[in-house]
Amino acid sequence: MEYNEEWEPLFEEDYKLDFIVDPFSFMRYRVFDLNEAWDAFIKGFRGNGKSSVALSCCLLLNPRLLDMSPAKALERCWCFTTEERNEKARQVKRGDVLAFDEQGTQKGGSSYKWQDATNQDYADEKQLDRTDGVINLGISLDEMRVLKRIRQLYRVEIYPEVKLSNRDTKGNGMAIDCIVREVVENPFGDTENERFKKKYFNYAPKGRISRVRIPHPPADIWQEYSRRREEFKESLRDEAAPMVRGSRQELFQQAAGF
Amino acid sequence: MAEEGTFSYDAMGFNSNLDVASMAASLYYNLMNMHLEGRDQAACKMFRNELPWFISIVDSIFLKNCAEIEETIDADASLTSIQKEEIIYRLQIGEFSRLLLRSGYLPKPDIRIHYNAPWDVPKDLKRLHFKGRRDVSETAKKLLEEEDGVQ
Repeated sequence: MEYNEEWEPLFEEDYKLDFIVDPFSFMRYRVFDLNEAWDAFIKGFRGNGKSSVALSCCLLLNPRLLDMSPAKALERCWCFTTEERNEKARQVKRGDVLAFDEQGTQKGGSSYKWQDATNQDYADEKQLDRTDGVINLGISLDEMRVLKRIRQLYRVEIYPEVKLSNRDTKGNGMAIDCIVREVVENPFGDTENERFKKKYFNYAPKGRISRVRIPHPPADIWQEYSRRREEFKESLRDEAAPMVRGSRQELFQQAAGF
Repeated sequence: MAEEGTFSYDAMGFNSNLDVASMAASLYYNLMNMHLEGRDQAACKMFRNELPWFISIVDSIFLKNCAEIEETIDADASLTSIQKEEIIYRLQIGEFSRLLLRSGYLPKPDIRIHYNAPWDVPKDLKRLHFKGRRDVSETAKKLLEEEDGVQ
């Protein structure tokens, strides 16, 4: 008898594996065909691959981006600040994906600045933009950094778990294994934990899609993203510089006895 | 979907009033004990008697396969009636197990979905390093120069 390392069930049809709908096709169907709002939140440690997963998600959810130049594609689907997001949200069309990277920074919907007018505008707009046929992706280290009104609107959570090399994927290029869960709301729950449950997507009754392997985005798009992120970082530094300088001067003055 | 006067309805669930999973488990343990005691004939009878309790999850595949098993084994003239009953029982137990799997009472595997990218996926980090990065210490240098000027 021949032995095969791969799992080959005797009656494969009983598992209903041939009816699998992947989570991204499911999201596209719910948003574009049923006019619902299915936004995803990507969270994880620093350098865990959140941004590369988000870039690939953008390309998988909106393949039209692949026909554009990297600069144009990023201009259309990516933003780092609340202002930029609010501006782009007015330009996007049905079928687009808009990713908001580094959420929770000073300029990016930080929960510490919940009273900020820009953040309030952002939260209001997002609350109202539910049937615009656009999928929003939020990226942050953890959800508590993001405005409460925003983080409660995400219906899918993605956690990049393991980075995989070309060897791990048997020559299919670099990829990241992610846990993708749906946030299911129970309006009758008394506590926060009861109200929002995070469940795996199922391919059949009691059959879970436990991991989703997302390929690395193309190199040119990744380079363009890196350039933009560097610009954003510099802009934060430039903004922080006068503040640092001010506080240092105060210290000097105190030390000098003024 | 059934129709009744001006409205129609369809079944959505059974609210766990009758737990099929625990019924199946108790049937399994009872049958196992009977086989351990050597009461194979009694086990065959018991399985047949208990089967109607699971009618709510029975599907057409199960009925078709069970009928096929009975027809095929019955047609074999070389077997005695007791042998036939035992073989039919063993094959139908397998079909029952498949039925539990289809209806979600037996575990299905967790799966991993692999997305096939329609783009050229990088194989290593060589092409991914960003070259145009500004010197990080530039801002710090500027600050220090300005501070020197103030002093």
